[in-house]
Amino acid sequence: MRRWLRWDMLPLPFNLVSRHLVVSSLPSLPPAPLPSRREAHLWYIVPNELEDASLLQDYRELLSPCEKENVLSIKGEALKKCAILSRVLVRTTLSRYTDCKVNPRLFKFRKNRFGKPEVEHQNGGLWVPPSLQFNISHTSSMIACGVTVDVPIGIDIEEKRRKPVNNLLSLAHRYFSPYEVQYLASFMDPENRQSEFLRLWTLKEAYVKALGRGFSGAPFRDFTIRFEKSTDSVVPERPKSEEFRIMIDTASDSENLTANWQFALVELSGSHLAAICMEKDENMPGTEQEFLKLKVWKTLPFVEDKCMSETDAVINISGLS
Amino acid sequence: MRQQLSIRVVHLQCMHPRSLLHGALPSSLRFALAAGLSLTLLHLPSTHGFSRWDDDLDLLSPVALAAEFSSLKSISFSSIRKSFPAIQLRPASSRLRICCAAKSETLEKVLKIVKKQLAVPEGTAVTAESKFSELGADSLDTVEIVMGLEEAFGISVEEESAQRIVTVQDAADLIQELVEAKSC
Repeated sequence: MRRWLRWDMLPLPFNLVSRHLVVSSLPSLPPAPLPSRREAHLWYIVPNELEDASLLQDYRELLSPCEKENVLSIKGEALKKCAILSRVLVRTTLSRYTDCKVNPRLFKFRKNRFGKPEVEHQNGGLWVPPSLQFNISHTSSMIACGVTVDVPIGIDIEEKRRKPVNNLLSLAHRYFSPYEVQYLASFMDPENRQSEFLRLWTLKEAYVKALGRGFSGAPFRDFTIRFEKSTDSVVPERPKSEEFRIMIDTASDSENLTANWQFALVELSGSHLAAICMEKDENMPGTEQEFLKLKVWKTLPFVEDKCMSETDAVINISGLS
Repeated sequence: MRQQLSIRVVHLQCMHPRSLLHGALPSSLRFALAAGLSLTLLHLPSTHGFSRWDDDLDLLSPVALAAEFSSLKSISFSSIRKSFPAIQLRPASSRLRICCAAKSETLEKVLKIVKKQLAVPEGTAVTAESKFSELGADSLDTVEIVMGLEEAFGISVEEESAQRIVTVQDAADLIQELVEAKSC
């Protein structure tokens, strides 16, 4: 019923010689305009909203043989579904930014030398794909993919209500910097402390993932995330008392840990925290460097895309312009 | 009927038999030992010579092992060049038995901590061969598990070592290594 021939979903940049039929059971994706230099785009899926087993099957067909094998090895239906959706989200999201000239199936991925996944650009043909950078994060209830052009990005999402099994201060003592431990210890109320812990955690994760050097390449205790009250407001109508900036301090002797990164922290869908970290544009004037532009979409690929920016589903905690 | 399982050639450089006892076994060998199978170790020729299997033996040359499971009762590991007598290593030896007991206790403890951390779906078994990624462990789960293991065993795990852990068995092996290093 959903099957038809797609003439326009052709692997143009990779195979100019043969035009071939791509029999697809899925409709086309709407293309998306590329993010600007200072912009990050965030696409997310809520796995529970996918109830159609045949759609999941169609999604599975978009995966590479290697990805399919990986899904097979995962234990439990819910985790399998998340694994499929995770790959589908990356592939479909990237496809949108190629004006849908590149079929989601065709993307190839590789890992950098530290293990960070990236798009493997295949050269050849007249059309040069944009240099898309992406990063994925998932919880059992949401999968998110952040995209930028040219600029390294890291994202991390976490359920707002997630309660670590271990004692929070013990975890902080073991993994966080001394400043952060002190900061957490200053919150007496357990719920506030839990909330601050998760904020720090997601921001630190996002930074490490943006750096792309792996957990051991950027040990959590070697850098500090802190929240600095803004005494002046760039945009006059923002209430000064709620304004704070996310800052990062790195140890002066660490060559690998750079500090030219900007952060944003948002609440997504009332249920999740999302931290986004992207490299600063050194050419941008000082004050404008502070804030990150973010556009957010909720998607069920090939079924529905909803722009969530400027809605209640995306609440800026800090860092957004 | 012959059962052909995947053949894995493991090339071990300069391995002292004692190190075999201390857990530096590749997983294929471990599986074999755990299944109570006897191993036949064939050896490549070396310039230093090689006489018998005992405490004083120094394996100075590389040993190439290939496993072919011909039945569930025995495994033979044959080297690429078969020109030396077979050496028999019986897992029923007391030394190995003690070593295996300690390791299985470690594994049990590790499994307990992992199961406590991860809300594993109904009917999913968590075993030594389970991969953390397949159990749905995310980064926060991983650090919590590492911390739980550190507290339970009184050890400290480096980030680099932790990053190499793929399966539950890897975690147990690392713990075992650290515990033994601590007691030296």
